[in-house]
Amino acid sequence: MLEDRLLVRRLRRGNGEALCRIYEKYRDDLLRLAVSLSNDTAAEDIVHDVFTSFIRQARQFRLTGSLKGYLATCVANRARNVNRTDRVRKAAPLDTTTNAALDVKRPEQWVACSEELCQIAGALALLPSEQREVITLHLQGGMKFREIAEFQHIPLKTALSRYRCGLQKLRALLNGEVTECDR
Amino acid sequence: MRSLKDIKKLIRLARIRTKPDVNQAVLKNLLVGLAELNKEKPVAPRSALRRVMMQSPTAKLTSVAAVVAVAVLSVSLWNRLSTQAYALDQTVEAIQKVRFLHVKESDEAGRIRFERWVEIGKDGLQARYRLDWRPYTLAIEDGESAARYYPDKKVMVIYGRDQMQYRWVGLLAQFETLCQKGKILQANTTYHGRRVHRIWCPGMTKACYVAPETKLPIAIENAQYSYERPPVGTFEIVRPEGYVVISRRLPSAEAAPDWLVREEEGRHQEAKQFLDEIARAISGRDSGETAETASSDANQEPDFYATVELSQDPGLLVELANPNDVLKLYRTGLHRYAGCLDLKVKCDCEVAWRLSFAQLHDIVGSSGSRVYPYYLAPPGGVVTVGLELMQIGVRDMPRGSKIATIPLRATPRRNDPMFFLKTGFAFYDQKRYADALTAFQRIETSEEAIQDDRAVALIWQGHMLDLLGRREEAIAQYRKVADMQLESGVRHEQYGLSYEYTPYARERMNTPFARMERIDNNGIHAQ
Repeated sequence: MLEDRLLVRRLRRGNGEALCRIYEKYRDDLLRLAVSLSNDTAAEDIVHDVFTSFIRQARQFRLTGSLKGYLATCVANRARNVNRTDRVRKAAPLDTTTNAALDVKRPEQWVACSEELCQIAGALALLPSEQREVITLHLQGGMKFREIAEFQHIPLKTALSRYRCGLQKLRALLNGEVTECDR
Repeated sequence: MRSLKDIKKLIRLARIRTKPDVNQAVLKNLLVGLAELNKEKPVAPRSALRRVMMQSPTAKLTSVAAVVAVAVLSVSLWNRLSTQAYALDQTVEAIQKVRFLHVKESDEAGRIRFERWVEIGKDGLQARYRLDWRPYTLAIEDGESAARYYPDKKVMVIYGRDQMQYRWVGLLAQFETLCQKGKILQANTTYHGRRVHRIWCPGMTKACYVAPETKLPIAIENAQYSYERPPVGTFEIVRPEGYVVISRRLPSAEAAPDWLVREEEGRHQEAKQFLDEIARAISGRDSGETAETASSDANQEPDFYATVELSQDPGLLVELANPNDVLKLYRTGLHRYAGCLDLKVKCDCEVAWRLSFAQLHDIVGSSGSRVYPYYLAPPGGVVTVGLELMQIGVRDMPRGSKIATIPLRATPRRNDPMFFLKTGFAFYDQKRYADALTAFQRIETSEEAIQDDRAVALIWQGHMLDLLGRREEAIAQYRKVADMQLESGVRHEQYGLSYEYTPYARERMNTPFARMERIDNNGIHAQ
């Protein structure tokens, strides 16, 4: 936490080393989070956009909580916009599942997901977005439920309930998938 | 079986790998951006990731190598599969170039029952239209007016374009949208003696036949498609001999006969009743009644069932084809209009499945267990449920076996911001600006609304206030959006309107909103 404050302070002064450190420190976590909230091809752009906006706003930025939590929130916001744009854009058929998207690999791809992450992202894509957000922000973004509740503008109890409910569904989905594949 | 603890661990520990050269390229780009900011130049770093990666020589070489490899593979595959050179994309591309469309639908005896001519403008929208529904009616839209002929009464009624539009998109447009999810069932087969490709798309209950030479569909379900220029005069509104003309374009036009008034009122009645119901509910005037209805519905046994027969090839995408498969959500109340559907599939054998949703046969929803309100056309809307079967465990089933029973049930979801947005648009379309304003205001109080939802809500509140002549209040709403300083934007394709929140709000503070008409095919006059 202290290191993050120092890094942000140095970044505000335009220090490139601070930017390198922040980038190296949180890049993978943010990419993983973005994959879980969208898909891997969109995830790359989401994380890049988040860092781009972050350095653009660095001079005015004041760190009040955890830097990772802040960046995770930015990723979640950006992912929401991307998902919404995709839904609204009628030209793109929306019944393409995340699993299908994960199968499409580009030669210049930044991210290679582990098998587990592909499996998790595929199952998470089937959850309602609000439950998916709570689960990923807590387990992958390291955010506290109180912070997630603030982010989603909901009471703490609702956030906890979404988390529990989402995990139950996820368990059913993952167990069902394993059972079918094993047959 | 995995425990919850295992799943949490799996989520926490799932890893990704990133390519070091791309990492370096991205970081370099960010550093360049930072350096530029340090010079106090307002130039932001590039946000297009692909461009960034092409700055890296290693990534560039990798990409070139990959493209060459793909090209070589494609050529060898082409040689092997030269008999299946057709791809669905070719049909999509061909359809986009279509300017005239001629559709004929015949009955079992081969008599033509429906005949449609459509001219498609350069903007891709219907420009002129003619429907001949023998012997009941004839309708012509010439781009400025619409005429409906009543052969039994020897009457033709003329409407202005803003009063009546015979928009028709039909299966061809659906085909264009859905082709990416379609399948080539059989290439180079025959249909009524013609060589064709037999293909299938979600949303179509039967196969479609594509001409190999033009790549265009020549038959979809019972309809025959062709693309020739229509005979001269097809879209011209003319008075047949012995017909009486009734013009409804001007308020001062001659009095309409009772039968016509009744017909016109009936056309709007259902939509009006539905909107009245919503207006009462969202303004809280009968919230108790709505809540009661909603809770009783939630306790109902599933009232909708569909079955899938294994009469298709295993592995084929199977669309439920029974009339019962269509869930009609209109006339069922606010909660159902806004409601999600909890979908459960009870299979009698081992199949993998997923569901997709369709609006008026256009699949626009995603796999999952919810139908969101913005997939529905106002007012109400029709949802078709499609089932996608995957090839697991069905090979031992005798053909014709019932493999799944699907109970479906609607449950309330009345707090979705998109519901209020959609409802607001429905009121706006009907020029009920005060009701629309209430609907847009409800978005702000929705727990599920995010910042973008609030921005859209405020902008449309401003629009409604402008149209109601309350300019000062409208400016206050636009100012709230400008103060949010959002960098994102939104598209309302139904009105051909696209904007970024902040600059648009500032623009509206200077210039009041002027009404825009719906340009898509969701109008209540659609036919």
